[in-house]
Amino acid sequence: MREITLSKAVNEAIAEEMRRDETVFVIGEDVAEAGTPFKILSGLVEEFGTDRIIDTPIAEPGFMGIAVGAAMTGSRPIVDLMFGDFLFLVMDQLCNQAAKAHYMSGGKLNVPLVLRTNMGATRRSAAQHSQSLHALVAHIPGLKVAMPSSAYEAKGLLKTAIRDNNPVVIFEDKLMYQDKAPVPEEEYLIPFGVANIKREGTDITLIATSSMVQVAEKAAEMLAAEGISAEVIDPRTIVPLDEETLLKSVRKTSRAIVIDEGHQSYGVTAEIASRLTEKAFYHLDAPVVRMGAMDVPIPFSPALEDITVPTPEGVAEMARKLCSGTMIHAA
Amino acid sequence: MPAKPKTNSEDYLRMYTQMARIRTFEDNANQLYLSAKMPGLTHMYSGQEAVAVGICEALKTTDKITSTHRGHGHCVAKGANFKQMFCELLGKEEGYCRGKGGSMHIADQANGNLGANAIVGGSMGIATGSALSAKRLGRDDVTVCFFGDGATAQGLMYEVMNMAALWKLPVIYACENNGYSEYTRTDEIAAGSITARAEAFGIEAFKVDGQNVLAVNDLAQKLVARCRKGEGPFFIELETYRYHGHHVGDINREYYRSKAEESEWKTNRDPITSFGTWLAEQGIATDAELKAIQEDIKADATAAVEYALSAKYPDVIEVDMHVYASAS
Amino acid sequence: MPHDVIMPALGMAQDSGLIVSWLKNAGDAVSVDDPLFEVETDKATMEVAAGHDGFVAALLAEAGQEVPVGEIVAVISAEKPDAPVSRAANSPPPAQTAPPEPAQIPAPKASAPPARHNTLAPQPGGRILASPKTRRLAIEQGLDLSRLVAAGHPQPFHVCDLDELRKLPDATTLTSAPTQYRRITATIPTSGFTDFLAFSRTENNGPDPTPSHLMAAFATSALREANDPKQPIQIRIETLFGPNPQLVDTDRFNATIQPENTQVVPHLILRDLTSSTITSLSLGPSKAPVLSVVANGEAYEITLVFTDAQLPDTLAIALITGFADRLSDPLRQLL
Repeated sequence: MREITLSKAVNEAIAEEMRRDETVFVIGEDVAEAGTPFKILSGLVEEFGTDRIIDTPIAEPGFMGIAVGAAMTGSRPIVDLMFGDFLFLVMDQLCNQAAKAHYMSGGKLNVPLVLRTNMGATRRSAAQHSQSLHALVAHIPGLKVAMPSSAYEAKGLLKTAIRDNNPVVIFEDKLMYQDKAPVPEEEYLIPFGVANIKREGTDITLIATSSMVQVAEKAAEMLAAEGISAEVIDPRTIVPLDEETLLKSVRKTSRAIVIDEGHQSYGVTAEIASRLTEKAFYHLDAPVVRMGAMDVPIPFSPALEDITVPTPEGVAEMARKLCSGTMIHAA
Repeated sequence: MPAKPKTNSEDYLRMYTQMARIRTFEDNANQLYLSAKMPGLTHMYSGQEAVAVGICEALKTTDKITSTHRGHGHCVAKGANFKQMFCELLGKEEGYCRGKGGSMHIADQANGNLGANAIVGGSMGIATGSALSAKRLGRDDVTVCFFGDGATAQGLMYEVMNMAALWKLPVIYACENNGYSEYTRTDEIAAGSITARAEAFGIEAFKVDGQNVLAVNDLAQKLVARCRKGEGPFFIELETYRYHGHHVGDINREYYRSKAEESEWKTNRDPITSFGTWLAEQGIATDAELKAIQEDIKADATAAVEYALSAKYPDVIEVDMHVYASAS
Repeated sequence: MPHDVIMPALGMAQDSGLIVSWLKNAGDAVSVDDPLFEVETDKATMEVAAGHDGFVAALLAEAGQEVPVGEIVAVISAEKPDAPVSRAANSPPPAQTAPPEPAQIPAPKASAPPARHNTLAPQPGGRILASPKTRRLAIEQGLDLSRLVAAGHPQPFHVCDLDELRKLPDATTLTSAPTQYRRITATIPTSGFTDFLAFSRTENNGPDPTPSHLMAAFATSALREANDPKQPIQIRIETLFGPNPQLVDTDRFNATIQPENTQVVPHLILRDLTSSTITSLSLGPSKAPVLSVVANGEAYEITLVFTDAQLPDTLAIALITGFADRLSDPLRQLL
């Protein structure tokens, strides 16, 4: 199978959906000729024109609101938010308007839009360009949240998002844009709410999102050499969340670590860990541990930044402790 | 609204009727609140009828509007009926939003009303986006964005006006300047000139007496026609007045607005009274006929209120319905 | 003073650049704005200027090579070089995304579980720390975690500790193995007691005393005399048809009755079968010592069955003798 970069996978998804449905359009900063600063959308404006690949001024609340209105009236916008950190700028239009319109109108207004943005630190971009803020939007009823972990997921999830009649926020890891993965030539979609078991195991379940999937897989390799068999699961979408697959795994292994690049406190790890503890309590032989980014604004200095995020070594060490019954915290 | 032109008399009588309907609706809504029969808060449009009616009478059903927290007037003017509106205000199942939106989020999608909004300035992006859809998808719909003078303080307004101007979108920004932003006078919250704000983006801006329904309608018709030809966007500042407080509970308001001022507007600049006078002078309708129209509307409203008061609430199973839209 | 020309970073996501072609040869003169080489990045080919006036002293990479950002690809000297250099770049360092050298891995220990690291001594208050799964399995399998505590296993307990528990002697306490028990028998004439009962009926205006309650009082009093006078003594009365109340301090005026479903194990069970046709008993031990009374003709046969854990022999002898004395001459007891 051919291998393409995550960037190319996103590009293909958008191009295919725009060919398929003329109401789909892209709006955001530097999306046309520039193809975004990450060069993901290059080539699209040549095929679809500036009517459908729309460059905006630097006005995030403005073009987010415009996208909401366009979605309510027959269009299917894909909003490009250059950095996930700018989510704070669009929260009113996304969470007060888009997320609630269908409910507040008693089911009469639909907002079929996709907000594409990114996440992920260790790029030396410092605190306001490195955040992973998916937990904020996962908390808002009415939104769906997808987190592709490779080029394959990126294409399949984005196509599903574009066809979904709800507002969907999709987070790409900005450090993965050049990473390649096998992606079929034929069309495929990845449904929301279906987790992917990337590696089967029996001693401990590692649930990871986005680039943390690779971290978990590396940790699993290390653990395998020590006789510990780790199961690695990628939820792919956190809203809706495929709880059943996660619970089934934990009932099998009795142990779990949840790994995510949001901050350690009040994040996605907390929600998933909590559900596992609540619903698989009598199957747990170890506490369910959360491993997120440190609760600090992301530092600029490389020496500091790299220790704020989970690493394969860190995950493996935690897994070793849990499998040996070591107490992580005082009784 | 029918496509073929009617005689002006019919149009005028319709305008009068619509304004009277809004006034009656608001009087009833106010009563429901004061008699503790309506949950939550609402915001009265009384006094501003000519703005909503003058503009909406220039629109087709497929044209879109976005509204504000003071949205009953726009809703009626765009074609909504009393029964479903009162049901919505009382949180009943037969409301326009199945009781889930209430006064501040009332929307009538079939008539092109994309909804009232509880966030000040919150609909401006939506209105602009609606215009973008129309232009992109080759429809000749025009979108009117209603907002108050207070919303001119919101950054979103400038962001979307900028883009509307850049992309020449068919949207009309209609600023209902009623002199007050909640409890503060407009001149204390809006520096400089409101129309100049739009002109800064190269958007043609107009001022009109918001209490004169004919003047409003005349201007609206011209601008809507120009929008359909791709000459938009436009900006209108309508000078108007709200008779009630900011919301129905804002009763002791002398500290920010004098009774004398309120009285002046009610007595000398009431849009319905002055239009009625004009209609009589023009021989289009007699006082008796106008009175009859009013009585009919009152009866209609009374019946609608009674209906809504005894209508059923949505079943509790609906509480988690409509969070997500299903696949088409 | 020679100047280094490096592969520049030309895009936000670019780690390296492919040199498409050199636009100058080694030894050529260049000025600051002259394009020196072409680089292909993710999407476009761009020209990179020399950046300095002078001569190309060295070209350190070949056309067609991928060079990491920041590496030196050319050197420009102020004077024309005598021997301009033109060579391929050093083999580039491993790409950023190459996996790190795997750590030295010992041979997999397939079935040996990782070393245990439990560290906790028994908790104050007796609370046992164990994972939810351990507790559930212990209940399901009838295992008693407190035995692990007693055996000195450090907490918290995990599922694998149940294996240790199973290996302990007497792994379960829920099914008790047969234990040694003892029996003492005494025989007394019935007349003393029956006379006394008749006497009580005629003398008292109150309700007739229940024979088994009287016996219970005698037994309690006998136990108290032989043991600790202050200790409240609980006795359970069992008769042929019930009820089977459990009473405290029946030998005293302030006797109390326990709730019907009490779990408290009494000090003594009194089994009054005098109203039955049973004449002789030889039964095994119960949760508490059992004092049984049956009637055999004109005599009461009294049997005390107990385990050495329940009663020491001396106390047992004192109990049955004291009881027998009182039962044979109740009036003396009451006086």
